[in-house]
Amino acid sequence: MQPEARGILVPDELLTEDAPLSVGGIQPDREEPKSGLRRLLGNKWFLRAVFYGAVAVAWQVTAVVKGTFFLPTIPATLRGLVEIFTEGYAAELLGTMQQLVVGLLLALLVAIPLGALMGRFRFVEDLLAPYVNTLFVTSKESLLPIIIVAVGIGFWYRTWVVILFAVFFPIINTAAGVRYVDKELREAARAFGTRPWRMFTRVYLPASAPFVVAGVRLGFGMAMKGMVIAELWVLRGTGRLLEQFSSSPRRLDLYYALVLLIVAIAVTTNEVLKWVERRLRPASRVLGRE
Amino acid sequence: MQGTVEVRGVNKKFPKQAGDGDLQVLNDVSFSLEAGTFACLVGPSGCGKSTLLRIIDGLMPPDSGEVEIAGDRVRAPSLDRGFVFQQFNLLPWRTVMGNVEFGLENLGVEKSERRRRAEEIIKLVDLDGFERYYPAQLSGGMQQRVGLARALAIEPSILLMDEPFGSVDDQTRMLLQDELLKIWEKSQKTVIFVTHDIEEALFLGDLIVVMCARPSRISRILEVPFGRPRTDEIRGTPEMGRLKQEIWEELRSGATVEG
Repeated sequence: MQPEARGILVPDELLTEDAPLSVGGIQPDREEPKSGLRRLLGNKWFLRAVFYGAVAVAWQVTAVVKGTFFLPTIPATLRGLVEIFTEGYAAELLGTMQQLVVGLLLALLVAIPLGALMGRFRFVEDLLAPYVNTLFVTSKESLLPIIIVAVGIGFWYRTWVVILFAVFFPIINTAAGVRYVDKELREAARAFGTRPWRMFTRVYLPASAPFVVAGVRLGFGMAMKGMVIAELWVLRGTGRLLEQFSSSPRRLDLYYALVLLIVAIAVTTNEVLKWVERRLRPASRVLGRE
Repeated sequence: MQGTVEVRGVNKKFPKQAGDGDLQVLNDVSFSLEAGTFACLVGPSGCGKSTLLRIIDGLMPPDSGEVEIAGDRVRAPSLDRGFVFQQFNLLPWRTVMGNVEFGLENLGVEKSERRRRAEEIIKLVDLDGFERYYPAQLSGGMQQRVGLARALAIEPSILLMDEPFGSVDDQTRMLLQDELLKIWEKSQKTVIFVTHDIEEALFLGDLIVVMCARPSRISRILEVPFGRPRTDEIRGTPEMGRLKQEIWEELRSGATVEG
């Protein structure tokens, strides 16, 4: 009985969402002899290259035709990217990100335990769910003025906005993750003498970890959004730069470069958290079973 | 006294899914087992045998009546009892090794000792080489070996098994039955084994507790005449056929009581 003969081990690179699951080596039906064109159309990297290439060409053509007052050319934007770093604008963005991280961490510090309690105890859920759900669907932007009234426009203003934007997804996701921990698993853990606290650390936490990380990921996206809005509102940090680059003297090359940088940070963090989430999902450690 | 089981006048009702009234799941159930007995609870599905097993373990309280194990009244699950579930119920984020060590962690067994004991048990259930696999990477039969190993690792005096081989294929089931007997014959634990498969009960048990549904009650307790150690040959004997027939008649007459 060799391990290889009885289990199916699957390398992680096959587990990206791009790869369709194949169980037991059975591939979805496909017509075998494929023409060159069909093979190209089946290749997502080819499709993406064509599509985004077309977008880039359209951008460049528009910039040239309409003039750089409305849209910077691609080379200008790339030069702007360099300038962001050489002229010290990147430091401003870094400061913004640092503050965002502080706000996000504070939000998670509240959200994860609160969500866990809501998922675990019915009375906490009954007590807090209406409040959480109401704020969740409320436009957080509408609360900016009263936050300014309450705490001014300094460090706490931006921190509060980030918390307000970021806090709800981790609460709701953690609560859902904890609530739906398999009844059978809880029973098994109980049968093996698991006491309440260990039940929490050894069963609830690992079982809901992928949900929690998904909540963190969504919360991060909201934090980015909240931060930019908060700064645009009071013209601080990166928000001030965005406003400055889009007004006189107008520097749309820098503006676009800065936006691209913000997007790049958001996308990278999102992908990293997605990867963590996948790693924590036990089912993702395998494809099939016998 | 260790390993004795005494079930006295246990009643249990569940609220009905729809409508009013309760469903009587267990009606005045009493029986006792000597230490080292391999007892099989046989009955149709819905007769409350899994519920009874959970009450014996302490996972569920009876409405009235009591269970005493080794002279002590059962109030909660204990690490002196090992439970094997029909759907395995392994922790999917733990490896085979991690699952087998689970109960030992709750017992407070120190890490190196834990590892040593888990390795030993994993070998006993024929899973060596799979220590680092996750449950989802294993077949149903192998997962249940892990379930059995998890229960054996805590060295319980009583093993409670809830249709443990009910969700594996026939060949695997027979194989697992043989192996369970081998392990049991060495350890002589008290086993309460729930099944709806009459032949399985006869092949494994010393004692068969026949349960009927609605109202759920014990209709008969009979001793199995086969000697030990048991081999696959007894599966085909006329005696096996006769006993299967006898228990089947019992179950059927129980079913007609309901009308």
